[in-house]
Amino acid sequence: MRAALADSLHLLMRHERRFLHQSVWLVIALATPALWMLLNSELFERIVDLPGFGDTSYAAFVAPGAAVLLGAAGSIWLGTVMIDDLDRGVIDRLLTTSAARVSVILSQLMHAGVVASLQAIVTLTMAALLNAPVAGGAVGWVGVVGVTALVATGFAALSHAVGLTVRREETLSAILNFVALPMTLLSSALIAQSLMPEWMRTLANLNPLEWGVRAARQLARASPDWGTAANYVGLLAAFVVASSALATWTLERYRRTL
Amino acid sequence: MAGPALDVQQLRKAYAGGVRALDGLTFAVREGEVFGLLGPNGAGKSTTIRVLATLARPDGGVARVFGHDVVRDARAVRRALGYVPQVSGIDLSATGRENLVLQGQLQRMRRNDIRPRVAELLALLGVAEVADRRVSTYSGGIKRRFDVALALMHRPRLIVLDEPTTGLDPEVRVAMWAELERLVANERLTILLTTHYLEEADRLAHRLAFVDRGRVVTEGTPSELKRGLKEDSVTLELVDGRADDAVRALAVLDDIAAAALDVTQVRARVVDGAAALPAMLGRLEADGIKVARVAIAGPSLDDVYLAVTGREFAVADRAEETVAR
Repeated sequence: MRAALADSLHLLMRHERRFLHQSVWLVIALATPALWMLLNSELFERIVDLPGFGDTSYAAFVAPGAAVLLGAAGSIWLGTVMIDDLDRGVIDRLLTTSAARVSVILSQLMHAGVVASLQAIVTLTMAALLNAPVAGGAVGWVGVVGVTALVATGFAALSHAVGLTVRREETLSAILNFVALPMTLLSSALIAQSLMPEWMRTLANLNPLEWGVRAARQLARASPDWGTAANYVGLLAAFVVASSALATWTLERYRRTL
Repeated sequence: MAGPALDVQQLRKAYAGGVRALDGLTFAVREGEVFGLLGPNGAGKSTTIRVLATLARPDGGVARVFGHDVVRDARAVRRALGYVPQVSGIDLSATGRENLVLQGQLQRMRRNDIRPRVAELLALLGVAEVADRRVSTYSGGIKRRFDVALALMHRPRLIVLDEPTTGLDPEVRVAMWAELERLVANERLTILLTTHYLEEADRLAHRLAFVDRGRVVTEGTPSELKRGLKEDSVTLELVDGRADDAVRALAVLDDIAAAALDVTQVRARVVDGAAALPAMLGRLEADGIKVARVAIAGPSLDDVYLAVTGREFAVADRAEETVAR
């Protein structure tokens, strides 16, 4: 167990190194949340005049959900990194070392968590600059960043599971493009829950992204409802465990085709 | 005397779609030996290597690396064996050194042991100057040396190389051969390599096995195999394009199998080239066929392949490649 964790950390360093080497990735990953927060909160500034948002600025309303949404939107593409590693024979080589097999998946998921956390910090910082700091203070920051990392890990695992199943980047991209929009719109990341039609709200209840948005929004408050937050964090944890198990299983299934 | 370094018995494996990659493959490699698995594309060489490297699971049969079963005792096999895959698997965005350090960590080497081992391998393979550049900037030959270094990192006693020189330029290939020969001497390694270059096997392998359609068709030392043929080939280049006439003329002689290579060249297989030549030339002169040049060659591995499979090696290789596409 400890050895598997050590293997994962060593592989995580490989992902981080690659991430830093590719300065374009780094810049895009950090610029996206800043730009997104700026444009979105300006564009929808007046939307909070609608009933349902309560007494808040749109930037303050959207920041926690935006962190979670951007974390999910970025990490869902990480399956393409896995396919690239498969095509280049990296995975095959790793599988013939003494490293625990699970570390191949685990390290990628940790990487998803790291990148998403950084992005969440940028999002919240931008919100603060837009005069909408996290009401919950330090606890709020930790809560939003932690929830974002969980969501990103879960979606990265799903992306890996699909990637290891289809094993073609084009196919994976097509599937992700198809899934990303409905996933976003079937959540209250951008709009108050009470403004969603009844049937969409029902579907949103099944959306892990929505669990993350609700948990993050709750934890960002000055006085969170801990029961609600714990509830959604629990759901998210289950989602992460299930999707990671699925990703590990698809890696095992790939191995059996060799 | 301990058992063989590598013992492969009756290995069988089929892929989805019913392609039978291994069909009762059997061979053994002694410790300290360089053993070549030779065969056309699609013969089952890569599958064999992947089974030994614990990457692929066999459907049947047994393979043991220093006595450890590749399926039941995969951990021990991974510690004892280094794998140089056909597709590199090196991280292009990292430097050569970073790749080696990571490999050492993943092979669970002791932390203090990793840096000295990296330095040792960089020196051994003569790639120290480029070690801190990214792999994406390396030439094919340098990259291949790092592939070998990765496999050697945890000091395995056996390395298996899947087509180590495929895709390299001829000069680079020859340099790589010298490198591998040096490794055998310096690291006291046992080596199993697959190749579809006959001259590579001839140069490097102490013993070799020809693989065809998932089984070993013949094995021995290169000279044993060639001697076993008891055949020389005599190539005659004719002044004018009367190869067919020449073949007909030579057919009269005993113990000579002649065939036209093209209109001006005839190749004949005989037990002793030098002894048979006067009679051959006499026969051709009698028919007024002028010979421009004569070459006598001992049997090649190509001849061995032809004798055991009834197919020319290069032809089989191309044919399998076409099927594979």
